Amino acid sequence: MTDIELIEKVKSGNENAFRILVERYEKKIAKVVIGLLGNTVEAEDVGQEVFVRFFRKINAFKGESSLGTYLTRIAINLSLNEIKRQKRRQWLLFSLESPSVKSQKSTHFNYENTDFQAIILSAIQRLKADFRVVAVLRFVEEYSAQETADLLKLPLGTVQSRTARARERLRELLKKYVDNE
Amino acid sequence: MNKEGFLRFWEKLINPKQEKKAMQADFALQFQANFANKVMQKIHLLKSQQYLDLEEIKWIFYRFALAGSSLALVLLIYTFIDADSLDVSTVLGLTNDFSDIFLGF
Repeated sequence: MTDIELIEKVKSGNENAFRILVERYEKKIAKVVIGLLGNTVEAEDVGQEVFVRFFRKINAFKGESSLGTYLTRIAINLSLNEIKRQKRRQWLLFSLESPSVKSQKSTHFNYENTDFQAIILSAIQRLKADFRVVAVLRFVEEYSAQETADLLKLPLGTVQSRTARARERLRELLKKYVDNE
Repeated sequence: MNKEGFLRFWEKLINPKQEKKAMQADFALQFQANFANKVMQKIHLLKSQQYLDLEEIKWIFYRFALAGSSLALVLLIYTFIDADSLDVSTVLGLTNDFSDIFLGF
């Protein structure tokens, strides 16, 4: 059954159709949200909120973009809000430890071969938010530069320059692990 | 992700023009196994109007903050302009006016 057919069913009150959509897209959204926020409890909450937000505004979904793109956009916006909130909290608490790195110790999530993935995630968390978004979309979600530009509503040149700088910074951060191989 | 996945990711960083498919790093990022159940629980709460999301909480807080500011403003104006005419009924009346204008209460 297509996304549009399921959405029509949800609009007519079929909750099971919504569950199918959640199960269909949760991995895609997990990549974006966990990529941006780390493997944290906050990421799980934001992930749930993405789908709740979609449910609330399901009548506003016109199908102009694919559902995956639509949900990814919501996930990016909510994740960026969460990053801002974490920064404010960090500032208020005068904490020297980055909240995302701190939360990285959480073991609530299932993922395979934690070490390598955690190393990459931790490096991505150290990028500034603007670069982090681009890095997640380009390197984790595997979107093209043009797709990333469309998603973020940014000029292609901006995405390309941010990609280059994110790539350079990640190389610096991850180099030591490659040298140890 | 295993070591090979990590090295593919590294290749992507040092050699961006490589064939896309050859570079996929096999990220296994996923939520908890009962993720869909938790979302559906929230949907039930939403439908029964027991669920307030952060935006709604912020909006409620914002409205209270505006109402408080309105009251403070009225008190300030009356304190400095005409202290003799400051009485409770006048202040309450003006606060109601402010609330009607700004908040639609």
